[in-house]
Amino acid sequence: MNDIVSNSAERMTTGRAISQAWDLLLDKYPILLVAVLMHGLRNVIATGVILFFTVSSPLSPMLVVSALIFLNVLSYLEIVTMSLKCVRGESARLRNVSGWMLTSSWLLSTVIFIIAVTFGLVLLVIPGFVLGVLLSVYGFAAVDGDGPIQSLRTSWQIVRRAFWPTLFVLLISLVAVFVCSNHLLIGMEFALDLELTLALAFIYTTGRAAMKGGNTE
Amino acid sequence: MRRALKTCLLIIACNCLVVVFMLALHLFLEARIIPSSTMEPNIHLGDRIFMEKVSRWTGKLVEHGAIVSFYPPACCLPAGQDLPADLPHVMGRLTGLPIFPYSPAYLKRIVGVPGDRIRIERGVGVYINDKLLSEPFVTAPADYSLSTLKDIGGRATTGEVIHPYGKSDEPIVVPKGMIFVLGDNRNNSEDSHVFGFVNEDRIIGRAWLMILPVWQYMHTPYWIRSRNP
Repeated sequence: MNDIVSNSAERMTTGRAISQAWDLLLDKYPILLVAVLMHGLRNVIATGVILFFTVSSPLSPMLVVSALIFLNVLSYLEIVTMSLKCVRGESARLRNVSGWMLTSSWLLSTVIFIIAVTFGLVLLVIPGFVLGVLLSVYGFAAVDGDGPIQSLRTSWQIVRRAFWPTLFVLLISLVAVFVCSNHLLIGMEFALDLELTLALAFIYTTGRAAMKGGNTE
Repeated sequence: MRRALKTCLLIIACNCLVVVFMLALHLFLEARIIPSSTMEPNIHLGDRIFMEKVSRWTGKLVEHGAIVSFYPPACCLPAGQDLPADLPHVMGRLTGLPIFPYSPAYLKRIVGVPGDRIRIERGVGVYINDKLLSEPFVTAPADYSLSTLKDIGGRATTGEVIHPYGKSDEPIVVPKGMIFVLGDNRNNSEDSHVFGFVNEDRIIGRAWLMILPVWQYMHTPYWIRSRNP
């Protein structure tokens, strides 16, 4: 993966992002799937425990759904961190998240992201999609230490320079998920989600390197 | 070649991951799509419901008025054979994944718990221990009468006419470890008035949450669908 890191200042294309992400996924899938498994089981067990203690209360659906959303956002943070490490050729461990600062910053930027995209969708749909694409790599910026607003701004700046590759990566991944909805390939959704995260990590890493190098393309 | 092998291994690993997740999730929750109108007017055809399984551990699974899903007794299954015990069917029941064979389940309301004496009077309603049950969740009372075990029976959905207790003149008293269930659509439901008591071991879970078409908490005894959600 060293060649990927060394070429990170080059322009990223859709094909390059997807093929590099797929190659990396084939290389690193055991640890990534173990991470997905651990997080998934943690989330399921936590949900079960909350359900156990609240099942007789009419509030239990809200509590369970809120816990599920919160835990999944946290899990995604850890997967994003691992993906970024994999793309950069660093050793990816099963537990990467450290500190409440990063977690709270991540949660805040996620909330702002959801509000912004929802607001955009309400405004004639297209603005929501455009915002969703432009802010799609905010998570990687947050992991790199940017604050909630700064991470969204960084995502905007990076994706603006590579809007079409990012859009096509997202679209191709969505189509692939649809195609793989066949029963025998039901698990491929996990692989495609990981592949999408890795592809976005490539786009982010390339864009960040270009920003630092003053490459304005 | 190595790349193709890795891709195959990735697909297999991902499918195993899904099976593990669904096994874990099915310890607590299970989603059901309603395939019939036997619980009208409260549960409609096509409604999406989550069944919870933790009540089994809290001791609140079997309660008067609770809505439960369960695997039907053997007499209601094709050729009178019980649920298949081969690995694919067991995995299907444990995970609910469409890659495994499907085992049908019923959704009914618990009317009688162990020790209850059940009697149904045509056009009047259900008596539990000689007290008439208030049933605001039913649109029309049963058009059949039950007072002894020999009255239980009728035509199952398999087409066969069944009489699970023969000509017994014993009153209908729910035995230990069993429940007596009825559909809210009394006159269009294959339930305990046809197949008799249901073993508690066959209960899958208790209705907890309706998510479609409306979001409604269902885990209350004698739950009634809100008419203006």
